[in-house]
Amino acid sequence: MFREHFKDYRFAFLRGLLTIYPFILLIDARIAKRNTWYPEFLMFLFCSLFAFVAGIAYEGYYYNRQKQKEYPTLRKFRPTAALGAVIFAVLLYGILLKIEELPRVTYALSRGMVAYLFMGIAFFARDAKKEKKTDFLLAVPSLIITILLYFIFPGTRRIYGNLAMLTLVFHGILYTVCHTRVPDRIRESYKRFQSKHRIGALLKKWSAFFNKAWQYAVELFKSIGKALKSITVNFTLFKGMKRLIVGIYRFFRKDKGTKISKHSDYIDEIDTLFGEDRMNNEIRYTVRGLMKIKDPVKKVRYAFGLVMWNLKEKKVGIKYYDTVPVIEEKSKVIENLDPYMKPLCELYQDVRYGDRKVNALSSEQAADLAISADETIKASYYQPKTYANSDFDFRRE
Amino acid sequence: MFILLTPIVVLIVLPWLFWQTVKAVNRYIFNRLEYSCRFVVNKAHEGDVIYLIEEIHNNCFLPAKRLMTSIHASRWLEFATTQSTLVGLTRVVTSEFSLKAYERIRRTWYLRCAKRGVYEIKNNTLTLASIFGLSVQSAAIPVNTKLIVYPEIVDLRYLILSGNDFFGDTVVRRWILDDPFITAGAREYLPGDPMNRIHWAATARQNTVMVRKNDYTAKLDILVLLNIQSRDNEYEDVIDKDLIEYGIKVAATVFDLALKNGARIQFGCNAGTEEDRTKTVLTESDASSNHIQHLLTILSGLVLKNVRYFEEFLKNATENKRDAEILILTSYMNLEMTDIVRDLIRARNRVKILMLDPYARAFAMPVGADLYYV
Repeated sequence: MFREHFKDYRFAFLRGLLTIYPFILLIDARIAKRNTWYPEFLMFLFCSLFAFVAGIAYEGYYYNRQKQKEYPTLRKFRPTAALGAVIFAVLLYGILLKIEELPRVTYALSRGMVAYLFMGIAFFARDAKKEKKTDFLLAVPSLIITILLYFIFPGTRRIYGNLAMLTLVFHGILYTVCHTRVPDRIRESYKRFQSKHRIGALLKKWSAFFNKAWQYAVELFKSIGKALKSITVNFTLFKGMKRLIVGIYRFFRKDKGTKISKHSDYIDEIDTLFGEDRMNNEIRYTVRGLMKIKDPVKKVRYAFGLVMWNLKEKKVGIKYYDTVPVIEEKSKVIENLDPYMKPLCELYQDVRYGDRKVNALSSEQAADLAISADETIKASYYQPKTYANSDFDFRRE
Repeated sequence: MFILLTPIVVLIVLPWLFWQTVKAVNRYIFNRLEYSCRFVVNKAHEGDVIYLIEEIHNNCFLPAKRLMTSIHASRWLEFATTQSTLVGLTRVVTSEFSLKAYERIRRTWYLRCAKRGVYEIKNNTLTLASIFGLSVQSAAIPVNTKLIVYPEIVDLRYLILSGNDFFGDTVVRRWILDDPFITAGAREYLPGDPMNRIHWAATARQNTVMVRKNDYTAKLDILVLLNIQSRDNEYEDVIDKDLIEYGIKVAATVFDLALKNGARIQFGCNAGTEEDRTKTVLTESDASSNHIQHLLTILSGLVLKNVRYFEEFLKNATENKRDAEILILTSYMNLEMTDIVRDLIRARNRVKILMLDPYARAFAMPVGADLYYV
């Protein structure tokens, strides 16, 4: 039973492990320095959690779930997603570091990344249907790299000895029992246990470690708090990260057209459409943009455009060929909008078709009307009567 | 103190933070999903296979892997081989999507229109689950797509015996111009008659010059009246639904024939439609294709409940009706209806009764009314 299960799921399992691998290497690099031991432990906890989510969830859960449904299109996504997850984690890690440590960390990161890429190539190139011989040959490079790293950097070995630290959680529970208001009998017996037995001594030793870890955690949280205060930095970082991920994704998705997958009862057409591509062709109307405009004529036109934008968002069904009176009539489906729409339409008609000049006061009035209309439309509830496939998309009751 | 807090942080706060993060990310992705659903066509006939297009776009840099949509359609729209759930008259079709970042999937469903009707899909449900199912975001997305399924066209050719049946011209007593295609007989030649009108065979027989005498004709308006009651003593709901559904199909076939022949047609029924269930149907008379489409749309939305008794409806609908062709589609014929039909014939109307029930008996059929079992 287990063998069969492992046979089916071995690739997912190995890939899950593989995701954790660069983090182990990172810790290895930092442990070798010895002077920064505790931050790496916290990092290890974080990275393990992340690796667990990214590795097991993506590689294991979805892959097998989709595999059962014979849905092979997901396979190409996995290397990219795993790589993206690594980069994400590394960037997050980079936020927490001081600049002086950058060269050292870069070295550690590059080593981890290179090893990961090599191993990734070795594993991801595999196919479950290929021969065992080919599988073995492809696994050889990853094996060599692992052995080399293990022997060239002896710090790697240290980490395996420290896995026992996970038991600290249980120790923490015991220690809490000791230091809180519990009956003296239990406290005394615990202290005796700490001083007399060998395990007790070990726990006492680890208590000291815990004190240090806590101190560092407090410092770490403080530094994160400071970083969060600097909104500009975080905003830029977030934007940068997003662009980086999208850039990498674009690179992998480049020159890939529409894929068609046929099923028994439906056909799927899959393509990639980046939001930025679409947004470039559209003009966004915002209240902020309205306030920036100085020219009265442009302001009135922009104010009307803002209301049109909102009506479009609500799917009122206004067409590009509709005249202003028709638009005014159609907009009545939104409750309480008429008091704003009527004067705004008049002003717009004067500017757009009447070729009349407007003063600054009128344009400000139009802007106020548009802002009020904007708020009214956004606050209203409207169930559109238009039908997605109808020729005439507006029908009055 | 920190020793007290450590297990709380590790066991409660961190998992809670993780959970909240997953929820926030899931909500972020869900808010960036764009979804639409529409029928490819507005109108179809019963039995047609049409397409329904679902389009979903993940406008986010994170993948939406466990996405599920539920289409709430009518049970009379049969989705091919899909395992769907039937809840009363609603069919819920659930399908899964797995979207990468910025990916768009256009899913084209095949579906068969099993029954006439006006079908609307108002809201579909979109559900996005996070990893391990820690967070589930769900919303009803308004799609507002509508499909009108017209009734099926049946074969009525065996009923039409001559070209004048149903849609032909009829002879009238007086008119301004005669019909050159209808010859009533021959008469003696009068000065001014053209040479090509001379009837040579009659001339030889009578030994005097004879010409063809043409008759006066008129194209009659057709009034189709459908009796929604399947039995004489039916109170409100139709008992024999299949019979009336067949009647609706026959009416649709008559409309189709009228369109082909360019005949002016009017329709009446003692039932309401989906738009207004309390009023009976009596349309204007017209021959345009738009009018026929309008009639077919009425048939699609006809509710199987009688608003008024047919005898009463027939009397009101045919009041002051003269020189018209009246087709009555009914499952039965009682004495009251027979009396009204007799009055109609007296008013120079041509009445044809299309009996839907093959075992029904028509009582005291008046002279001049044609009875067909369809």
